[in-house]
Amino acid sequence: MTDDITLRPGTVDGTVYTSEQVFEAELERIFRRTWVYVGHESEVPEQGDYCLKDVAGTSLIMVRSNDDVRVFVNRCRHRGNALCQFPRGRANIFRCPYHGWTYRNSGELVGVPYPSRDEQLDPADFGLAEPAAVDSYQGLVFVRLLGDGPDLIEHLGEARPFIDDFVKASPTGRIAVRAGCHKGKFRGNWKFVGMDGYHANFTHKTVRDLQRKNKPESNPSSRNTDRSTNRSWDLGNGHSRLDFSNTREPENILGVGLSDDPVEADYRDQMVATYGEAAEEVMERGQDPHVHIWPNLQLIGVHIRVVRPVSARLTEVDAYPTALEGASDDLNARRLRSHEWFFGPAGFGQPDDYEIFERNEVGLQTVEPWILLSRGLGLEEPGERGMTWGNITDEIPQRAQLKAWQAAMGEAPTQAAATGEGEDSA
Amino acid sequence: MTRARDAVTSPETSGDPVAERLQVYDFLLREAELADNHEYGEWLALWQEGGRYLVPANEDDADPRHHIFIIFDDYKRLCDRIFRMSQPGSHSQEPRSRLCRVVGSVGAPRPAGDGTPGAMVVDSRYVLDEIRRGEVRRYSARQRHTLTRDADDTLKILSKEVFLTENDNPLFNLTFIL
Repeated sequence: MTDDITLRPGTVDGTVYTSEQVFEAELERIFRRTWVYVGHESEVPEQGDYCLKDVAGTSLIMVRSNDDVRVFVNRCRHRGNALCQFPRGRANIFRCPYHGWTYRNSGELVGVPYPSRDEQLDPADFGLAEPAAVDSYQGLVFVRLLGDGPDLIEHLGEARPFIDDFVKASPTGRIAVRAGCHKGKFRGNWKFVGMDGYHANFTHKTVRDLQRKNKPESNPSSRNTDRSTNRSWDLGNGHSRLDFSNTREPENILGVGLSDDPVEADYRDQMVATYGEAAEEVMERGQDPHVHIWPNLQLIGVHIRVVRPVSARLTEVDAYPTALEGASDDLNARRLRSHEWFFGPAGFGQPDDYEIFERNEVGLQTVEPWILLSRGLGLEEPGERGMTWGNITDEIPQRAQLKAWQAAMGEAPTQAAATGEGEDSA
Repeated sequence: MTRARDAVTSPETSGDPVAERLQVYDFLLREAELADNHEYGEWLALWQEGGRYLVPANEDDADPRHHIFIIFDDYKRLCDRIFRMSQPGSHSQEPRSRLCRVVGSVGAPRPAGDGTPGAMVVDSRYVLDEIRRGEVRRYSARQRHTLTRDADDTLKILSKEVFLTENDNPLFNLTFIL
C-alpha cells in the first residue's frame, strides 16, 4: 500500500478512512508512538489540580505536582482499576476505591492495605505508569505513550513559530485554557479533520450567504479560490497550514483586536507596551495560526482543537477556546462570542463540516474506493527549510498528512487496506 | 394549535393565575410545535426584539463572560441563525431532522428576578427525539423562558435558556431549534 499510494500519484485508497483494521494499526503506530497533544498547563493551575484526558482510548491524568505538570496513566497498578472518575479536581493523593491502594499525586505508591500477605511487593516498583515521554512547548503538553523517537522540539519542527504566534496574541505571551470546551463528534474518520482551503465556499455556502447579507459590498468567497493569493503549506513532519494572511474574514470570526472600539483599543495599547513596533504584526499573526500539528492538534482562530479518534468511523473533537492572559475580561469574552459564531455543535460553520465528513464516510463504503488528492500536485513552490506551499485550494495539506501517515504506518496494515482483507465492512 | 394561538393573544388573564398559567403552558406547546416543524419565521416571531437564546456548554450555571456556550445568541445573532438555517445549502439540515419533543414539568410562572416590568419566568423540561439518516438521537433538557407581553398583550420571549442534560458530552450536530 505504501507503493499503492504513490502508484497513482495524488490518489489514496479510501479504505484508509473506513477500515477498522487500519484504525487499530493507527492507534498502535501513530497515536501510541508519536508525540500527541494532551492538554494545556493552565488547565491545572494550582498544586494538586488534575484533569482527565483521553488519548486514543488511553485515560490519562494530567496533574500539577510540586510545581511540575505530570502525566500518568489513569490506572491502578494492582488490578488496573481506573483511579480518577471526575473530569477535573484537586488531590494530593489518588486512592483506588477497589482495594485501597494509594498514590501521591507525584505517582509514588505509598499505601497498600494489609501488606503482611504480600511481603514480596516493593511499592517502589508500582508507582503510577507514565508515558514513555512527556514534554511541553508554550504550555502545550504532549506525550509519546510508547517507544523512542525524536524529541518534542524536533517533532514540532516548522510548526513551532505558529504556536509562538498563537500565544503571543496575549500581552503577557501566555494563554489560558479555562473557558470550557466545545465537545463535538461525527460519524467519520479522524483524518477528515485536516486543513482544507478548497471546501469553504461550498461546504460553508450559508456562511458566505450570511456574510454577504450583513456586508453586501464584501466578497468573502474570494479568499478561497484558485485566484486567491492565500496559501496552503506543507510544514514537514505531517504538519500543515492554511495561510490567510493576504485576506482576512469580512466578519471577524477568528479573533479580535483589530478594531478601534475601547475594548480592542485597550488591548492594542497593551500589545504595543509589550511588543513595541512589532505589535501590529504580532496581533495580525496571532489572529489565526490555522495550523495542524500532526496527528491530533490544531490551532484555529482562538481555539485549541484536539482530534480524538474513537473508531475508524467515529471521531470526537474537543475545542478549547483560549483566554489571553493579561487582556481584559471584555476582550476575552469577545473571543468566546467570536468562536461560538462559527464553531460548536450549533455554530454556523462547524456543523456543515461534520455533515460533509459523515457523507464522505458514506461515499467511501464502496468497491471503487480510490479518491483524488491531486490538486496542485507538481505545482508546489519550495519554501524555506524544506517546506512547500501552493494555492490555498491545493491539496498540499492532505498530502502532507498522508506522507506522515505512510511513514508511521509502514507496510503491513496498509497492505490490508489495499486488499480489503479482513475487512469488517462491506 | 388553533387553541394555542388564541390563548396567546387573549387579554383576559390578568389577575387570574390559573388562566395565566394555562396561557403560558399553551405558549410553550406552541413554541415546541413550531420548533419541531422547522417553522423558523413563525418561531422567530414569538420573540421580543432584544431577546437572547442561550445554551451553555459543559455546565448549567456557566458564566458567559468566562465560559464557552453552545449557543449564545443576542437578537441579531438569533436573526442570523434563522437566516442561515433558511438558506439552501444548509447541509446539516438537508434533509431536515424529523423532530418530536414532549414538553412537561411546567412550573408556575413567577415574576422575573431582575425586576423587568411585566416579565415572568417559567421553568419546564423536554425530551426530544431527532431522527435523521436512519438514526434516532434523544436529547433531554431543562429550559427556562423569560416571557413578557407586547402592546397587544401577546406573550413574547425575552430569553430562552436550554440546559441540555448532555451538555458536557461530545455532541453530534445541533442545527435545529433546541
